[in-house]
Amino acid sequence: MSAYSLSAISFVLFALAAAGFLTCGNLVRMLMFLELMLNAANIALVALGQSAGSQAYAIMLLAVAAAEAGVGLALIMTLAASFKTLEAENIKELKG
Amino acid sequence: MEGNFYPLLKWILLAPLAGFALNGLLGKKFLGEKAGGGIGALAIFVSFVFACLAFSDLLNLPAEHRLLRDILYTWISTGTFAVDAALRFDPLSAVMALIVTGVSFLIHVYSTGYMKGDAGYNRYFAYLNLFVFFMLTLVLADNPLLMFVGWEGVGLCSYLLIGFWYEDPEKASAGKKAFITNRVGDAGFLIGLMLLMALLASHGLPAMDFASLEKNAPLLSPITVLGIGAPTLICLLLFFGATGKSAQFPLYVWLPDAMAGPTPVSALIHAATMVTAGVYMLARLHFLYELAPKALEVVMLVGCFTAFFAAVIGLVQKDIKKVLAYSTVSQLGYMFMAAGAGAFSASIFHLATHAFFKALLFLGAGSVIHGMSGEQDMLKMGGLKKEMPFTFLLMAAGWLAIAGVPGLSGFYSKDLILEKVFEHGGPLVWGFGVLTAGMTAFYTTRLLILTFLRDKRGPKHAHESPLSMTLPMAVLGVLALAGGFLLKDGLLAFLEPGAAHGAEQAPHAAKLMMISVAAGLAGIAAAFPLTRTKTAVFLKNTMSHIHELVFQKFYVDELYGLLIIRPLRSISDKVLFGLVDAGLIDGSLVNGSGRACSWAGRKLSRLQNGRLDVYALVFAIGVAVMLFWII
Amino acid sequence: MILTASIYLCAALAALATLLMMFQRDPVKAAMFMLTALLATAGLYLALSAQLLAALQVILYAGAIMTLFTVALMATPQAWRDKPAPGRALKVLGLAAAAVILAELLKVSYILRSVKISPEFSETGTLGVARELFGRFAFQFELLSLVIIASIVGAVALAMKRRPA
Repeated sequence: MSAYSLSAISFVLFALAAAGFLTCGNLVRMLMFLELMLNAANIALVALGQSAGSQAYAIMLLAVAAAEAGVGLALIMTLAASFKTLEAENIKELKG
Repeated sequence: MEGNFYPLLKWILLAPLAGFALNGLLGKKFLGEKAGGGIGALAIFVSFVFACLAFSDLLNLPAEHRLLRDILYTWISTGTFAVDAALRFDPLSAVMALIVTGVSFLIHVYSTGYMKGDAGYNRYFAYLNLFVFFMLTLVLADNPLLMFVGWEGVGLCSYLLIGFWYEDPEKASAGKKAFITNRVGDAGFLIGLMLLMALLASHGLPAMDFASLEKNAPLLSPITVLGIGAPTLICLLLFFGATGKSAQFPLYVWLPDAMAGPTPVSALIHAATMVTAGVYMLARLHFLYELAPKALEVVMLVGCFTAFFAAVIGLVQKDIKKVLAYSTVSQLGYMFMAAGAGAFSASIFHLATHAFFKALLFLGAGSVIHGMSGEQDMLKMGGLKKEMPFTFLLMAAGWLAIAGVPGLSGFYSKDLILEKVFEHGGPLVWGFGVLTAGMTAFYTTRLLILTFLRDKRGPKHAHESPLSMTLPMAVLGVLALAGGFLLKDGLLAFLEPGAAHGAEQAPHAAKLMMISVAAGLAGIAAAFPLTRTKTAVFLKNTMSHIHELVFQKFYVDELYGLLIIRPLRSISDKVLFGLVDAGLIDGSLVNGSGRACSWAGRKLSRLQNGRLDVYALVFAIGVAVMLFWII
Repeated sequence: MILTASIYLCAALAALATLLMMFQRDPVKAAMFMLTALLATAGLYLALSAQLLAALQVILYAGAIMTLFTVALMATPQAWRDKPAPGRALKVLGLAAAAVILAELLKVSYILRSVKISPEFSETGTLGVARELFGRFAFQFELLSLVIIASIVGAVALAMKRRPA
């Protein structure tokens, strides 16, 4: 197989996750798709860079993803608590 | 560049401009009537004095090198094409400048009396000075572009002065008609000028002053444009402009209507100076016209036709000023006939004598109108000989001059023209010229008879004009009577020092002269019986259709209205205004872009609805677009 | 050969899971699909001889993060999860944007066609990874711990209710 197929795999996953991110309405689901996007990037890193350095990089990325998921969820919870809803549609305070 | 540098020339121009500025800016409030008139006349007098000084200096130069130049500043300078605002004083411009400043000074003095009490007194003198400024620019210019500036400027001043009493809509529209008809001619003039410049520039000779043009003009002979020789085409286009400015067929229609302006304006602009600009242009560009004999033929034929045509119309007019207007058109036709026959100095000679006697006739008519408190219909005048003797005498002088009575100015110039026309144009054209001379004598005599002689017809009582009006007329009278005799040889020799004049008289010249004189005298003689009331009424009734046709000026104005003005108006209204302006520009472009903007704004504002997922979407779309653009 | 097939298999599984996740109404079920995708990714890592990474993937992602998500989903009241679906236009636009991004990325990486990679099962390269992690990337590694602490502090600060003082 060529590097093209590997990168294609990661891109397809990324695109699917992006599609899901943009079409769902629920905030938590958006965060889930976000994690999947990050995951797809991780795959690209590992698949295309065959060395140990890329794997180390991927590990670090993993940690960052975890941290970000935690903070993101905390944010969403707080936001949802003030707006009493989880749907992105109903949160319109930014509208000028 | 030959010609001595002569810095005095610019002051000939600047004095009238200063008069215009003073009267125009400080006019009624600060100067009042007396000072305003005084400044106006003084400015022209200063100009006349300078012109005389320059003229005497010119005479001191040897005959072949009579040229004085003055450069004001560099006007246009782009790449290879450069035009200076330069003035040129050679015999031709000397003659023109002296006529312009001299006659207009007399008319300024006359106007101080004529326009007294008018509400726009200062404005009048400002315009008149401005006119003289532009006319002098025209005659003193050293290149055709500066000449064109003067050309346009006198058209503008003509409009301002014809429509001087602008509150009367008829008079205002007469001014508009003059300007627009001029403009149509100017379009032809501009195209001819541009063609000349383009063709010369393509040969790498972009210099536009008249000396260079004279040198380079023969290069144009072999070129043909659209199948016509280049010189012929250029000359015809320039002549078309001249028909507009000098009221020849087909663009003469504005001159009779221009009589709506004050009479001194008619005297100055439409007798002595502006309308002669076309003749001057032909004389100035004579080298170009000599390369295009076909164009000269056209000029001669048009001039002949116009002279005849206008004289016929003038035979039956009622308004005193209209008769003189048609007479002017006719005499201009004579000048163009002479130019067409190649006798350019003869046409300038007639220009000079015509300036004298026509201005005199117009001023006399103005005096009559002033005395009759505004009446212009000749059928209501009569018997004014007793009440206005001085005016009668002076007008009689002008009458004799224009009729071509031997010894007076008109005789010499008209006779010279007819002789040249017979040599170059053949007997047919000459015959029409003689016939026109007879008609000229007839209608001028008719004018004199109806106005001054016979019994009093009208109810009004007339008074003689003040000295400020009669004195200038007297000066012009002297010039009209004696000018021809004094000037004839000197002027022609002055204008064309190389050519031989006068000495060689063709053997049949004497015969021709006698025939034309006889025609003039016959015209005078025929006028007396034919204008008796009973005879006139009888003639009118028997030839009523012809009379109506001629009286209505052969319906030329109506024809133009039908063929040109009406379609133009309806196109302007329906197509250009309705479709293009209101529909396209207003509707689609202006309003349409406004509507489009507000529509786009409405649509785009939906993006900013505060929703986070929409923002994320926009973000993703932005990334996609950027990637697309980069990749 | 097997490796190649398993790579493709795991990838297909992950893709399918993601796809189905989009059409799931119930968020908890969607979380389960996500779990599947993550586990498939771990399998992918295994096939690519990144064993440490695979293990960490399972522990961190599938273990910690998924748990977090599920707990969070459980903790939110049902009333908050009313479902007006996003408008049709939005959905289409979103899909279109994703498709465009995919196309562009593929187009860019087209030149990689020539680079041949034949995955072989190699020994666990954990030692190499460790050397990199604590050697070359030591600074970043330490920084990571800072990131984690920051996120913890942030989460706690956000989640804590304001006590009326």
